[in-house]
Amino acid sequence: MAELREVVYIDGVRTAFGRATPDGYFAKTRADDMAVKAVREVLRRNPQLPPEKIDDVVFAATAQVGDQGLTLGRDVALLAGLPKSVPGFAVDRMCAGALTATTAGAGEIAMGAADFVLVGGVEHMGHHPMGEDVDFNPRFIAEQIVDESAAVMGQTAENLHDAFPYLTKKDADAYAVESQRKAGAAWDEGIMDEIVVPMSVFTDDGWTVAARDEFLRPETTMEALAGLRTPFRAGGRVTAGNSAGLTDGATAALIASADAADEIGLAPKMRLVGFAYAGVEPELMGLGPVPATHKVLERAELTMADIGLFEVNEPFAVQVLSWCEGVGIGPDDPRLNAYGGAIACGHPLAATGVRLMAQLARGFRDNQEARYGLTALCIGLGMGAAILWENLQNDA
Amino acid sequence: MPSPPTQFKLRRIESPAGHIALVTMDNGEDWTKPNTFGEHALRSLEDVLEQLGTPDWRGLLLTGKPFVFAVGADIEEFGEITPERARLGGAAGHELFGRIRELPFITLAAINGAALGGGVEIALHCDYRTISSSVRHFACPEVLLGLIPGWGGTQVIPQLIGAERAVKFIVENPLRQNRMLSAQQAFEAGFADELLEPVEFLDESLAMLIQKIEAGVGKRRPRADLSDVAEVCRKARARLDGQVHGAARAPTGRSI
Ligand SMILES: CC(C)(COP(=O)(O)OP(=O)(O)OC[C@H]1O[C@@H](n2cnc3c(N)ncnc32)[C@H](O)[C@@H]1OP(=O)(O)O)[C@@H](O)C(=O)NCCC(=O)NCCS
Repeated sequence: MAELREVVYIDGVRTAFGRATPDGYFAKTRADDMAVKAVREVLRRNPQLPPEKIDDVVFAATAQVGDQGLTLGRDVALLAGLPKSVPGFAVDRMCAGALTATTAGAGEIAMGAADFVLVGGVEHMGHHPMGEDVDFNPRFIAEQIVDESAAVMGQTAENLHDAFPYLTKKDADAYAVESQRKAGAAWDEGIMDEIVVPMSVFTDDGWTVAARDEFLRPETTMEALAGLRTPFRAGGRVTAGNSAGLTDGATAALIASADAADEIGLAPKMRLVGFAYAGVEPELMGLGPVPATHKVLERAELTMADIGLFEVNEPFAVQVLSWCEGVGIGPDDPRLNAYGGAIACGHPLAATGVRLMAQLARGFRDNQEARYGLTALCIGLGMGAAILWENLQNDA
Repeated sequence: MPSPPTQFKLRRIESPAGHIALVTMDNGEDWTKPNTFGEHALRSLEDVLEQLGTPDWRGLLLTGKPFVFAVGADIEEFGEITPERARLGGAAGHELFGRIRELPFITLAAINGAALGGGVEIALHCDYRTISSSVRHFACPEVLLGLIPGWGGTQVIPQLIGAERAVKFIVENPLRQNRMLSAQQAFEAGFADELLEPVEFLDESLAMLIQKIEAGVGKRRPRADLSDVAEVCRKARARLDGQVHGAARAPTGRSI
């Protein structure tokens, strides 16, 4: 077999994230048009790359129907105006869609089957409410293959509170307040403007520009969160305030073989060191990133102490808290989600992975001393994903 | 079924160049029922112009709902028209379009879809124009209906593109089976400053406006050399009289 090649991350962007409600930014905008916007922005920012050199376009969505249904990678490539010679395909691993698109593309590159691959994800949760077209096999319950609660992500988060009774609602709310505050600061400092590409969107009130995340509430207080409903369980702990909202958004990134990037003068921001997926009990799906993190670190022969930055998805505060427990860091560790997370910006399922990568790449620039970074997230039906990256912006 | 009235919908956009007024013409229907300018629409434009009177605006971008810019006067209102109402309608259009022209900041019409008659005219009262390459209907068909482009078209079109082309556009094209221009043709004739791909049309139009504001580019009053206008009109009249034998009267300049 041919020797494996180095895979690098060049650049990544996302649309602003909108509320998946009829009055949200993107209510009247197609999911594939959002993905097209992100893809074109990546290409615009990297004019050294001749579009015909793109070997594949890998796009993720959880709901692969309707405006997300036409083999997204190819659909987006054509709509973005890429040459017809550029192929594409679609992947689904729910919340880890964009990470899976990335590792699938990385595999092509490492094998020498591709030099440049566009990856990304989109989820229009307004057009495709979670689980809407899913026909849950009755055997799951009849044969007790999974607990009934495994089908509702918010209930799996309540289960985490049960499994770790010392992770209280107060802890979750405190984490959420911090996430909102950090995200607000990142916007104030202009960091998010480097990652988020504004997009004009048609609404009932005419065209407007979606430029800022709709969920962002930097002024969030413990007091305000204390009073919120617990929609997943009477007297529960999971609320709209300590969860990621239902979100519309798209992301896209360019990955490449290190040599090919070098040849055309593209400066890579990170090197892919390794990745891992893992499975856990579906009713505790939030635990997935714990074994995924252990696995990827073991393979790379690194420990948590070697990792300078973490970008971990935040579908629910308790999910991050239990990951912190599992990997032995504190939720207030400054290496963790420095620009806030999904509680503040939202979580358009399959799109989120590239958001984590884009924030990590930006974090590496701000933290020259950080050598390694991790992007991780949990996945419905009890899985976790983790990609380990090396900082290439610190050689100066 | 009459279409609901077209509204001018104003959104404030924060940009690096300051506040931009993003105005959408929208009747709330899909592209099969295009935007038209009836009495309600003109009142809605008046409201927006009122709101644009505050000093914080730096620019205006005018565009249409998806796939449609505007197709001009509401022909459904013509049934009830009297000479008096026609005069009032004409005057109202002059007044409002004139106010667009006089706005103290630069204005750009982003012609995203079909633009006919009054739709063309309102765009020409803006300082700059972009047109999406997907546009297939750009024309002033009034003459075919025995009207003239009465909201300034007969004045601003020749000033923009010259007498020869203006006569062709305003008079000869409508009488040639209502010939319309594609985006490419409209651009080549000088109607638009930029011909842009549809995929990011509005984003790119907005970027162009912001760039012009930041560069300090000013208002614009095109003044083509019209010294040939009498000659061009005389020749055109001769050609057309031979063609229509008085059947379409308005364009030959005789009063109704
Ligand atoms: C939790 C969830 C059900 C809440 O949905 P929702 O009720 O529509 O959420 P809303 O945005 O309307 O918020 C509910 C209330 O909380 C309030 N709220 C939300 N965040 C707040 C904050 N940071 N501070 C103060 N109040 C807040 C809202 O203002 C709203 O108040 P209102 O009812 O008075 O208007 C929904 O976001 C959800 O399902 N999230 C999880 C998504 C998911 O499972 N993703 C996959 C993970 S794997």
